[in-house]
Amino acid sequence: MTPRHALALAARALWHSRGRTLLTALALALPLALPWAVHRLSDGYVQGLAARAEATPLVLGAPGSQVDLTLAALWLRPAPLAPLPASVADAVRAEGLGGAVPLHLRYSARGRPLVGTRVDYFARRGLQPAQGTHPLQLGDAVLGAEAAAALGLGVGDRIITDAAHPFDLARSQPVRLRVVGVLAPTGGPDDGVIFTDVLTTWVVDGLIHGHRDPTRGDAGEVVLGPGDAVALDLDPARLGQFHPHGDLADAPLTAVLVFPTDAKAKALLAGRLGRLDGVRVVRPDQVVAQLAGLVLKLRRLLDAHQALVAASTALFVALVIGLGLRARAAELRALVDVGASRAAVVVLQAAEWGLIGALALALAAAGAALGVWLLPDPARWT
Amino acid sequence: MAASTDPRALLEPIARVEGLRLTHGPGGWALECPDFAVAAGERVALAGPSGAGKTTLLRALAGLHPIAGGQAWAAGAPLKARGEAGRRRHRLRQVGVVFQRFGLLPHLDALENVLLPLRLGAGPLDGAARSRGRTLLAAVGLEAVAHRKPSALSVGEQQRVALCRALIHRPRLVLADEPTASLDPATAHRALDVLFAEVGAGGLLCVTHDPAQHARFDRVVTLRGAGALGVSR
Repeated sequence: MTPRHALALAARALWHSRGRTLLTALALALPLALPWAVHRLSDGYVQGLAARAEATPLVLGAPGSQVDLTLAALWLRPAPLAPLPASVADAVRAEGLGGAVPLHLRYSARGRPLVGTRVDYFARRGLQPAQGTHPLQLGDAVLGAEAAAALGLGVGDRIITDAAHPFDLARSQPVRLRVVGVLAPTGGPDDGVIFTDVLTTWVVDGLIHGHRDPTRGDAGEVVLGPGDAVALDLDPARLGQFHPHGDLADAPLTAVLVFPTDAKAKALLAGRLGRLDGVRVVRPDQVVAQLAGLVLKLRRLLDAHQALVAASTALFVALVIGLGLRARAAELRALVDVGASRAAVVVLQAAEWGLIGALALALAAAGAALGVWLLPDPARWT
Repeated sequence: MAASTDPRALLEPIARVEGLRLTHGPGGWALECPDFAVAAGERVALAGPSGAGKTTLLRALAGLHPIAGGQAWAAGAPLKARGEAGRRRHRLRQVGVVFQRFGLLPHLDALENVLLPLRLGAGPLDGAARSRGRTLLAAVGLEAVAHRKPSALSVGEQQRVALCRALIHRPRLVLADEPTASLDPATAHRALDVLFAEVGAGGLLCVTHDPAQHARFDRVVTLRGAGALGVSR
């Protein structure tokens, strides 16, 4: 019997009992799909972490958890971090050994993190606007691609920052931002946030404000309009009136991303900046290596578990093969009676199980791909 | 030992047994088979009471039952000297067997069951073979059910599919175990017509209990058990 005939007969036998075939293939596919998906996800996670860490040589923050600081600074996740004075960024620049990009991550707008930074950030991360421009003046906002799609906003729309201190009248009220750009998608954490200039976030902090001519009533009382009570409007015509109260060198930052000019500059900066009071220097690649190590340990644990599941599945498959041979004894006997050799019968059975195995592999691959597709990007799990 | 009275069988036998002894397991029954032969072009009916050993003799000539003693030839080849693989190859290419229980594969339709020996290596499976398969099915009245699975066929239809399968590769010897037992007289007559026509210059040894069919055979060999043999005509 030729392999073509063996495959044809095997395929007909499998199609004849297609329900049983599919069940068997699924039973084999499930224990394969899970570790497959976990490996793909964890590989993507570790690679995503490493790539982002490599693109950010040093991070400065206030003393505290270096993991929280790294996750906040690299993945733009708000975290309860002590503020860092803006003068630290100036101190980095003063060293002349690299660039410094400030990050302010305390507020949100419609649930999306509001990231206050400088235009340098977009150049360092390779972020290009798909529409409009980068934030160029006070009150400008640029949306990440995913944030724009989720919020249904585009260039020319307005977005109000979420009220951070609704019962504290001494603090600044929410600020209405102008959407001046939407970034092209990158597949990274920059897609899900709203960027603005760090000065704008200081407006939200109440450190920079403007004054208006109040509307007065008949008796000379100040009258607030409905818009006044909702949000502060950073009208471009009035931007000149905005001014800081106090020294902006003391204004708060969440972190400062440091981009040394070379490896030597990185070592020098790490040493010198580490001596500054109230400043913690973090090397993201080291933090990420710790996180990746944890992931790999968990993966090894899961692999061991999957090995046991695979062994159990193999035993069940052996049982199914044995029962199948017994149930089909008359059929196999008929094949031999007609003239099939015992080897041909074995080849037929092997062909059937080969096809089931191929189907199981295809289902496992599809299941793993579906799992990877349905689960969120691991780079954003942080 | 009784011998065939037909001189053709002595000249060029297609099947022959001499001193054949068949047993069934240690301590089981033993069949001392009387000598006889089937000549080329001869159609021989094998009759006898249940348990006389007709099916066992047919299976021995097909190479499916071990020979404990004596010798048997099928389609010109001695069976005892051949190993299991040799007997299987010989059966696949030179012998067609209609089994009492049909032995159809449940996942193949009627036509594919008929073509099964060709898939296993009895001959080329090409367009001509498929055409011959359809012709055989049509000859036994099954052209309309050629693509039905055995589970969708009546017992009589399944039996005719098994008959066509035994003939598809034009074997020199056809061994048929009650090939018309499940058929009505008219359909059985038609099936035997096809069987006789297809055997042609080969040989046919056919177990049948139907005395009405005996007249259509060249000769009737009757096994009476314990080695007794009767030959009519």
